[in-house]
Amino acid sequence: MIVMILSNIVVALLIILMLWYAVHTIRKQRKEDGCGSCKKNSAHSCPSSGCKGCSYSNKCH
Amino acid sequence: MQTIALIGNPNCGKTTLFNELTGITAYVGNWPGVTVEKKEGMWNNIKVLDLPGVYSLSPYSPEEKLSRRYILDEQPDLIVDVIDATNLERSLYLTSQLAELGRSVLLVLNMQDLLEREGIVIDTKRLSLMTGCPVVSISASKGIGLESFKKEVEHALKENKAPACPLFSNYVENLLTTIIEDDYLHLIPSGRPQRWAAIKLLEEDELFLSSMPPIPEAFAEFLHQAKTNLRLHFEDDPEAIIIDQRYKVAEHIAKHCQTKKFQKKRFNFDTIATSRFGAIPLFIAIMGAVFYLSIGLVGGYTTGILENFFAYLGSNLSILLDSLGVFPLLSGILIDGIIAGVGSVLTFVPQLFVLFLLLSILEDCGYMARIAFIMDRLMRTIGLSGKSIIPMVIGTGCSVPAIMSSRTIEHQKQRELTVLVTPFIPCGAKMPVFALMLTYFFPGKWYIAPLIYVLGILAVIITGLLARAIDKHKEKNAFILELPRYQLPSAKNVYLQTRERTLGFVAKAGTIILLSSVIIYLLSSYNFTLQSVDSDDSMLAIFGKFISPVFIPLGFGFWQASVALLTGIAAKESIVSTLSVTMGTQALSSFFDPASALSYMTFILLSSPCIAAISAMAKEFGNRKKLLYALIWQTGFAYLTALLIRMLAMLIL
Repeated sequence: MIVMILSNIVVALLIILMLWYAVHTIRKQRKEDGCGSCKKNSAHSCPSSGCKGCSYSNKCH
Repeated sequence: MQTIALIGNPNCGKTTLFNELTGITAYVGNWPGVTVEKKEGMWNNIKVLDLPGVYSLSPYSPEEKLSRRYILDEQPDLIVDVIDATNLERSLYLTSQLAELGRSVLLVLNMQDLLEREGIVIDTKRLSLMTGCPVVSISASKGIGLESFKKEVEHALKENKAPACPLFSNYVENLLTTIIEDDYLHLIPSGRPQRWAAIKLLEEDELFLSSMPPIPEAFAEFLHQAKTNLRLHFEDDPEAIIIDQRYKVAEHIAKHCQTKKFQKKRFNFDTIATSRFGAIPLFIAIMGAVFYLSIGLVGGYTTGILENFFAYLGSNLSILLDSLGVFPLLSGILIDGIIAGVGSVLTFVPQLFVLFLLLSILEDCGYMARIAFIMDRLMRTIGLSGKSIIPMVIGTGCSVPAIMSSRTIEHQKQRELTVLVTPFIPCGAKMPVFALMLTYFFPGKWYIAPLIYVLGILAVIITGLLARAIDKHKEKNAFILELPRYQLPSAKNVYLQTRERTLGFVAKAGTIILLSSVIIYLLSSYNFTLQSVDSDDSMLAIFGKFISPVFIPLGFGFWQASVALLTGIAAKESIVSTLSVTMGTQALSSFFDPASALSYMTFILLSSPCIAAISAMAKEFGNRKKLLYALIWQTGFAYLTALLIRMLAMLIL
């Protein structure tokens, strides 16, 4: 019984971990491809600051 | 913080130098026009900017406008003029324009390692004296001379000395002096030298004039008279006269600083690669060889092995989880969802790695630029710019940067048409679908893969011809593409490009594909009352059956194929994982036949691209209506072509 419960918990955690990693990576990529990599730096001038965000959207600030 | 800006002609090695200095791995290609955006990086506490390659600071193309706006408005502390040392005279044309800006300029003679082979000797001291700029020789790709470069940058930043202004003929100089004396020149925005402004007034530079207040009547009359006199004196228009004056300066400096030894004529591969009759067969042969090696040879060996591996992993894990008493829901998500979905996509990694590697080698050795040259005439015939081929070549990797690179096309209609047709070129993400279908329905017939490219090119031609027929105001422009020299592919560039593309593919498998596989598994295993059911009665099947009748004429009117097409909007690789989760790749032949497989591949090739590419299209069009028309055209055209292909295939096969 304990083995069954533990196995279910381990498999469930493994799936959750993989899903979390996938969602986290997609969000991170979205940020990089959006304005996340540029917004922190107020010295950047949009639309041509050269950050990934500016290449996808016209201005980040 | 001090800033240096790297500027120079296209393909002179700016991005290679930028990468060497900053440690950033920005995309480097052996063809002009790779950099369309400004890139930033840090080097020794100095901000380094890599500007798009330009031949002049005249604002004709978007990248010329961007580079000029940056140099004038942002005013970097030092302009680093990167010069292809084997093309000194041409590069000095841009140098003469930079010198007019009155800002500190450092001349960097790049590719010094090639000078000896070309029989060229450059007197750098004399060059420095004649231009008034410090000069340093380097080879960015080999990392030679970077220490001297560092010292010269530090020295130039400290001295902040303006270069010598290029002098034109006495007639033009006298005219410029008179213009500068007028009060109107005091109104120019800060950072613009008066001499430069006077030249712009003579050239009637629209970008400059738009930044100035209206010209007073008396001064306008004077300018008009001055230009008339100039026309009479030189028998040409003022803009052409200034260009000619600058070229004379460049020619004069190059003549006195450079000596060329006589070189024996060697065999030139371009006599075949760009010849009228040999070029296209050679291109088809090369691409055929690329696909034979990647999909035919490597794919033939590895696909089966990896499929068996994932099947073995899934079945053994299933036995283990059953024996441990794991709930069917959890084991189903893990085995039938994640392992089946992600595994089906990862199966294609080895062949895609070889494909990306070979394409990177072709790019880096300079062959891809020859394709642009070959296609130039055809492109212009169908209403596209010769430059349109560059996005299409980049599009063999991914449509997103390809669509972005269309910005180098000056004319709006040609640019928009390029954005519309670029997704017709099969990107790396569509390859697994084609490889899957080819493996199951056309084993050993590797030559079908290059035919997919031919079909993509035909779609480009047909769309171009139709657009040209509809368009009443045909735009014509000359395409000047400098053919880069052939070179041994740089291991670093090839490695970086192949790694980026392959890792991007693997990363997608671990993210979007994983998520979509889990969602597809759940939707295909449960009904709307959340009861576990056979996939044919699942939520996904009900939804799929609603749209699948549309595809009956195309031969894939079953819900699994329709749903896979929808998941393909998120990422094209998802099509493979969805087919794998909903029907299992082994069962493909009970759903498709060779004709419907060809029709399915055609529809995937030509229909709307993935969401990332659609976003890029939206940005480049800047208009939702145009985007909508483009998507309707792509999907409608894909539907009709797939129908035609199926009918033909049913007759032939």
